[in-house]
Amino acid sequence: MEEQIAKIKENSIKEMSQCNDEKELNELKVKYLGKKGELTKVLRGMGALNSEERPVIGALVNKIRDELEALIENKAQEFKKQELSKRLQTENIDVTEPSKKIHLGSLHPITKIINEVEEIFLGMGYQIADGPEVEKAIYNFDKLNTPPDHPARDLQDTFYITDDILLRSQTSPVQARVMETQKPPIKVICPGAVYRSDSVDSTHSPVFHQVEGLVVDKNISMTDLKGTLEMFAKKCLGENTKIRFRPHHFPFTEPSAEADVSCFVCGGKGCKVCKGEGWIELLGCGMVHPNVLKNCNIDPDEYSGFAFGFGVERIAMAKFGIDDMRLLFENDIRFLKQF
Amino acid sequence: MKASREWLEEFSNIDVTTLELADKLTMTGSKVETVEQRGNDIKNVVVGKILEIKKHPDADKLVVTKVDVANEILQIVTGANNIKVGDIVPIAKDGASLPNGVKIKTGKLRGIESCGMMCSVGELNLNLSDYPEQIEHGIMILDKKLEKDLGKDIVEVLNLKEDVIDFEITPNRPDCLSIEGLGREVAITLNKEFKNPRKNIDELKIENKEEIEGLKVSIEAPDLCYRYIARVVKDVKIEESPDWMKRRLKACGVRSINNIVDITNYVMLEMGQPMHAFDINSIEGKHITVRRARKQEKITTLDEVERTLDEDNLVIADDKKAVAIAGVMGGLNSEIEETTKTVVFESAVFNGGSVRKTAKKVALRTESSSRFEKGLSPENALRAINRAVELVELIKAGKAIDGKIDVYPTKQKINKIKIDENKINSLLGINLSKEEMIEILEKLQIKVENDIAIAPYFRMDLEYLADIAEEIVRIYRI
Ligand SMILES: [Zn+2]
Repeated sequence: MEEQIAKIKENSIKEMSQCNDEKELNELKVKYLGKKGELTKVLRGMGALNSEERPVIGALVNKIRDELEALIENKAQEFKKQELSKRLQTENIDVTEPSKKIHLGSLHPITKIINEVEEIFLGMGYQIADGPEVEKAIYNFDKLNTPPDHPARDLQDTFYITDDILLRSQTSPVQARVMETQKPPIKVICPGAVYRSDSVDSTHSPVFHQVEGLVVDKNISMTDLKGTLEMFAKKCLGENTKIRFRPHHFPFTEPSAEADVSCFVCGGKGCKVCKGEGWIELLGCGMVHPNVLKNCNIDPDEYSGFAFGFGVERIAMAKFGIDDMRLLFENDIRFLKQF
Repeated sequence: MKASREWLEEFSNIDVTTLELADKLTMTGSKVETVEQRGNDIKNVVVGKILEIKKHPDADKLVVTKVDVANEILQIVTGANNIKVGDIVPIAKDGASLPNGVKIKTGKLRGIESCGMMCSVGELNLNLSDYPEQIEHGIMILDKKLEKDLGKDIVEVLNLKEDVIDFEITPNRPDCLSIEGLGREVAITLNKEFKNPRKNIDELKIENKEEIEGLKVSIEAPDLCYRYIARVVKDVKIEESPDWMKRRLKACGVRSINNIVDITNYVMLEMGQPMHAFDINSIEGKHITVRRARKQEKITTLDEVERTLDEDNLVIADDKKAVAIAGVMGGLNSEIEETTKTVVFESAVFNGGSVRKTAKKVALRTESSSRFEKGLSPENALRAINRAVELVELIKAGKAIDGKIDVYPTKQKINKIKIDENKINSLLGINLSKEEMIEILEKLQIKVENDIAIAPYFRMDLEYLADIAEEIVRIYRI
């Protein structure tokens, strides 16, 4: 009998050491100490013993039961501790990473630039105008002093839907729409998408964005235009930005100019970004052509105006140091996340 | 539009570097795309004479040569097999650099020292077509006469230096699609006097005739053809053009064909007026008619492609057939050939929109059509044809026949604009006196009489006061 008890002790201790959690521990408790447990069975079998043996075995069983109970208690405490630290650990992660699988969106670089440009011009008292992307040829060309035979219609290959309806190739038609419906003073900008049948490469895309600006009032001059653009350039590209006008030609402005800004990377000394020139071409602009004013029922003898238009992608690329326009349209999240 | 500095210098003195000139022109409105400085990329290549050629002891395909470069005798190992003793060849000496970026260093070829390299036409980045006597895979063999130049820089000896500026000309300035027009811009930009080398042409009086050598001209579509001038040269000898002419054409990116065709291209480049030359014998009935094409009318153009036209397209025709698509390209049937003896020069002005549509329809945008579509000056057409005939006599390509046939139904309108200095100042936001404005305008050859600005014949783009303001601001600069 003593042998049997010793074996129970040995087995129970061994099994307990292999026990992994509270549930298994409970099962062991039942197995050895429960009503039908092995140790209980031994106690029950004591009736067959003589009176000399009975107290000895009884004491032995009780001692072992105490030992086992203590072991089980210890083990249970250990599991509780483990459980707690595990819970603490997992609950800790929950707190610091609240939404592991939900990506928060950010603004597209094009949207960012448009927002910034809008804010700058709103601050200068401009209103924001809007026009259709599917436009009538008369607004995209004719009213802008570009009649059907005009060579400038050759310069930009336009997506025609019918002979008279097209995808606007510039935001300039909004100029004509605004002038037709508003009386001077007019002070608007119009951001939006434009379309040209260019093949896709690192600097061309069939769809891109422009911001058009138009001011019409009495005594508006070309130096007003330059001052306006200079203020815009300083706010958008940095306080030290300078601007220069190069004479150019557009059908709907006269005089016309292309405006360059001093390179905001090297400050005009010449670098890779400005191709060593110190200047970066920013936009086209000019004084609204008298024919355009006339076409929109504004008397060119009484009013004058200036207009400018620039490509948003060009500014985004220069400002964010993006060397390939395609990146702006592929919408790869790894790219967009950087802005 | 490409222009060589050398050609521009015929119209204005240039006392700045080509790069500075390019920057300045960009700032006065002639936007420079690129500046190419040819010959600058060849360094330390000289004229040498081969004194000795021996077999390489350890290589069957190599020879060891001794070359005289005036102040020293160089040993050069080469694999070329088109050389012989006495040949004059270009030698890239130790330390030379070539247009392809290669730097030449003394080294050993199969154990034998080689102190330089003999160059091929390609290695000097020259066009084989300019040196027809040379072979592609072999050393360039120079003229024996160059023996007097041993040791001298090949760039100087072959006159390889050429600065070429490529301009992006805006569509309102077809006058600047010419060396003359750009020359005017150079003079204004650098504040020099415009040399006006064509003064004699401007002063020429050529008698009008109904008929020359039996040739007659009629315009059936005066809405599409504003002027058609023909002049005739006889005793023509079709041959190569002189080097100076070929060189200028090449600088502008035009291939030399023969003296007569080259003259038409030369005049187009110089004066901006596209020209055409026919063999008089290919004009049936000796009657040139400018008419609308017939529906489905076919013509094979000089590029040997058959084109189908319709009534919206204008053709130059004889009594039987179309001989050219007006303003776009000549027909193969009237091409100048080696046997051509009598040449008809055509200098005409067509409606720009019509030429643009026709060029688009036949998918053929040419140097000619891209000029016509912007609207050319009928007054300039006369200067151009007289210049062409002058060149024929200058290079002895033939003899001019007196007189011209000049059908000129729509006289060029000379635009006059009332100057209002207050309006100009207020539009530009500046404060110039009327005298200061007039000074700028007169430099631009815009005459001002009694406050009326008179646009010169070559500035058909000047119509409104805003155009005058633009001229002032591009010179005054804000
Ligand atoms: Zn820079």
